[in-house]
Amino acid sequence: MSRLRHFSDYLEIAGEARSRVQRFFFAFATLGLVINVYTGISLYQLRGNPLEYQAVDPTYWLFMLLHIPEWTSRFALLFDAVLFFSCIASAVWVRQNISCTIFFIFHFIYFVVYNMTAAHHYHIHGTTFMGLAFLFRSRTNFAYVLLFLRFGFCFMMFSAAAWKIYRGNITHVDQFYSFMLEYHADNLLRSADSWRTGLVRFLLGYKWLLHSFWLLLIALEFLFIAGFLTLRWDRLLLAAYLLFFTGAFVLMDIYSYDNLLFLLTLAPVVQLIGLPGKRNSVGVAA
Amino acid sequence: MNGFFRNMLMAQYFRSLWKFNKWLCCFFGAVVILQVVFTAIKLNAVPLLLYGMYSEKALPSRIVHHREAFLDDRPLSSYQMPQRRRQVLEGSLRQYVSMRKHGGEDPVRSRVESRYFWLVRSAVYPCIKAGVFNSGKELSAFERWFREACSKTIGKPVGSVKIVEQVFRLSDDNSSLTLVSDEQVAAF
Repeated sequence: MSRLRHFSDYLEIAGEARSRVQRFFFAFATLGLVINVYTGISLYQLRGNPLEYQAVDPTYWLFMLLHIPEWTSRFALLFDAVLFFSCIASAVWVRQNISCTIFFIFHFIYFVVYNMTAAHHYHIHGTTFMGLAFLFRSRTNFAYVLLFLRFGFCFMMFSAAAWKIYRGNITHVDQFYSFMLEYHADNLLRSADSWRTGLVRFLLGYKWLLHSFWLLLIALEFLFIAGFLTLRWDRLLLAAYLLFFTGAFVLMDIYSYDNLLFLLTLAPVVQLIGLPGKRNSVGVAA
Repeated sequence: MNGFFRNMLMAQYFRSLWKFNKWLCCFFGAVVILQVVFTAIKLNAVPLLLYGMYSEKALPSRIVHHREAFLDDRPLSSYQMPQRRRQVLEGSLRQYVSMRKHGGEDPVRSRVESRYFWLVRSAVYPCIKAGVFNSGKELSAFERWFREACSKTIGKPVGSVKIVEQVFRLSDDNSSLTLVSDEQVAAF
């Protein structure tokens, strides 16, 4: 088969799977919103911080100039209600994109206000960015946007590797050691009796082992350069991200569940959710 | 080499998208260019972000700098809470301490006025100055918000908050941290 045909296969399968992908995405996003409420970070629970972090980010500045954090604080409960209902509506009625558009706008605002309140640029944007695909009712437009989001996902991961390489992390043996020490200071201070604290204490005694984990992490991130070149390695990228996610949870207690939604862009996942009982080969280039 | 770049997936994608939907192709092309440019100049502009992800070179040391908020003399870090809720409390506190250390002025304003002369001299700067930067009068409002946010998180009223910056040294067997010095930076 020619390479162009397999690229077309991805678009065809993704386009035909649009309804299923939408249902899956918004069901997962609804779960994410429930987790947000449970963990105390819904907009209503965050409202009212007068000291917003704006850094030198033009988007944050625009939000400040338009008083968006103040407006969302004032109408926080209504905002959260619209967010929830648009998410649920998008999961239930999959052949429309009005609720998807409302959700995308509101979730983008929530994402920015959360980061301005928490005073950082957190990379927990899977739900926000992936929502872009569902603005398009046309199957073909949807498929093109989904594939573009896949490139965005690959950029996020590969860029992280590139920054680490550019900043000399490969030869800097103390990098992960110093990071783990600062990151787990709270647990070490309290002599917390958890499996993770025990693991951290053990690893802090073996700098080279920590450095090996860091190199492995960089390698997993670097693999994503393949995503710009071909669909053929998507199974490997899927495994790499799951390993990356697991390692981040075990070693650093980081679990960006929102970003798991980026996996919906990878060819094997598109196939899995797509046509039931029909496994077309996607991305097997000549 | 030309064939390699021509046939890579991303190139095929944009050629195909150009034929199908020129507006979408131009939009995505602009996103790619802007993301590359912003990455090169190290500018975060949501949704175009920098993905440094803990790559800043860390200095080798057995010394740990730690900021702690004491809620009625009990450290905030001793309370169990969801990770993201903790990020909000600690992150917002970082913003507050930064302003307190800067004499109540927004350090972002100082940074902008020392580096971006073209912006400071522009006609829009008075509007930016009034609308974007935080001011000292928001510090006491933050103190009220922070106390209330902590109360809701730990499930009981918080009377006093003390913010202390501590320096610790890791023991030789990596089992514990020993306090070397501490300094109270704020109390409310």
